[in-house]
Amino acid sequence: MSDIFQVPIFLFLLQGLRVTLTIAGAAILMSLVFGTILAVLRNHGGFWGHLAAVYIEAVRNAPLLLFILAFRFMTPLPPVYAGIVAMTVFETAALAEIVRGGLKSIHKGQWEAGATQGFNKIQVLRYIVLPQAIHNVIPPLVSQFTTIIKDTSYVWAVGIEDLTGKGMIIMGRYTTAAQVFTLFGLIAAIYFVINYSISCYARRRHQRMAKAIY
Amino acid sequence: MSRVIRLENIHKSFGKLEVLHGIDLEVKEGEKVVIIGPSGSGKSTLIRCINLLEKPEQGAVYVDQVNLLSNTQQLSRVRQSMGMVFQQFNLYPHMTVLENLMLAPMKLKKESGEEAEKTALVYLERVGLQDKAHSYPAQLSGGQQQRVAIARALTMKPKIMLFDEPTSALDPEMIQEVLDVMVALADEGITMVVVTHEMGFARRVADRVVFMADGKIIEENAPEEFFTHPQHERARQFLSKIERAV
Ligand SMILES: Nc1ncnc2c1ncn2[C@@H]1O[C@H](COP(=O)(O)OP(=O)(O)O)[C@@H](O)[C@H]1O
Ligand SMILES: [Mg+2]
Repeated sequence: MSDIFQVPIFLFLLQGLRVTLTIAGAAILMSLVFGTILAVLRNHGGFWGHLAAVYIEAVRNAPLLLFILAFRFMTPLPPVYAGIVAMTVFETAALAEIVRGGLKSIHKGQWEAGATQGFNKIQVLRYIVLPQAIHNVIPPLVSQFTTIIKDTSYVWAVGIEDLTGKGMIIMGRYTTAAQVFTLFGLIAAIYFVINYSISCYARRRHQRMAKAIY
Repeated sequence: MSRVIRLENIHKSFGKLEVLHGIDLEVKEGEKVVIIGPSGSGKSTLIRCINLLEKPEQGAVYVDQVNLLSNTQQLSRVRQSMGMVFQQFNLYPHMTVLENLMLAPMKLKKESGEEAEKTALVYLERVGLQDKAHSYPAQLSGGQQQRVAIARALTMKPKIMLFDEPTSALDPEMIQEVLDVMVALADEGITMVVVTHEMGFARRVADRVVFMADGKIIEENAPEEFFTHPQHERARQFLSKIERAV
């Protein structure tokens, strides 16, 4: 068992962790931007709103792995990029629904106060409504971020060596149940430390802000 | 004196329900108009038609000679010159008081932060809240929030101020502090349209009282005339009810 706790193995796993965080981080940033745009469109209604709704529902009801396979094998993108794009396409739908919930939580009076001052719709969104909407959904947003980090492990299916992928490679060298169990435990612990830190940090910041404004 | 607001034959419906049945209203520069009438008579809808928060299906809205329904590209500019204060304050809860006051001057008039802050502090002092500049709205009482809302509107140096029942959501002990600010504002010559049931304020400030019922203007008169000799039965009934309540 002690043979798993070796510096080279740690370093090998950390390389994988870097890939995981790169894919997850890029996917989180981009899907937050696109998801917010879709949420605004869907909230607004009309033709584009319907289109946004169709996208969201279609994507949300398909498995993530399908997107990862599709972008890996049906596009010329290098593997990591294919993974980022696939996850972005998929998570955009999830984040859009969360942000839309935030938009719906904002009282009509906020829109009216902004419009009355002379702001157009985009300005009201940018300065007044979206900051509050996002703030109100930080807990589910962060929870989805951690899901994204965990779900990045699916990219192993197309040969990308993320944290889970690296773990699977090491696995080939071990045979006893105790060794395999320890390795799985170690990988799980790394995911746990990352995600738990993010959750705690987000909760603290959210509470500090909430105390001021509500 | 020129007419800064002119509403012509305004019809407004929500779905099948028509709530304004052809309203004509003119307000001269510097004039103070108080609109009163029973709940549901269309007072809010009417005042919200002036800055097009509600869009009438029929009729015309002129502000400063601009027909707002046909000159939508001028709407933002006209709205900047016309402040509005709501029953529910509608301050931006995620911003401090100072930020609430600085947002529009900085983003719409491109004032520098320094400039906007200076103006904001001047108006905060006028409503007696300079010590609350760095508080968040939720940390203020209702009366203080409403005074901030008034100051926020004033930082854009509007020619017209619209008030929709600004004291109706307040605890009784906070009504006077808001009315005092409004009276001081009225004394400065700004054009005001105020929906309120505060008869003392109407008598003190109004040049004209407009009485609405069932989506129509029933009667318009100078406050003393209106309160002592209402011409219409609906107005008499309404006045006797609110006088009993006071
Ligand atoms: N957004 C809306 N949708 C549907 N009905 C509305 C809406 N706003 C106001 N109404 C209706 O219009 C009528 C007039 O309302 P309002 O202008 O708020 O009256 P007041 O301010 O005099 O109390 C009421 O019957 C009210 O229910
Ligand atoms: Mg009303």
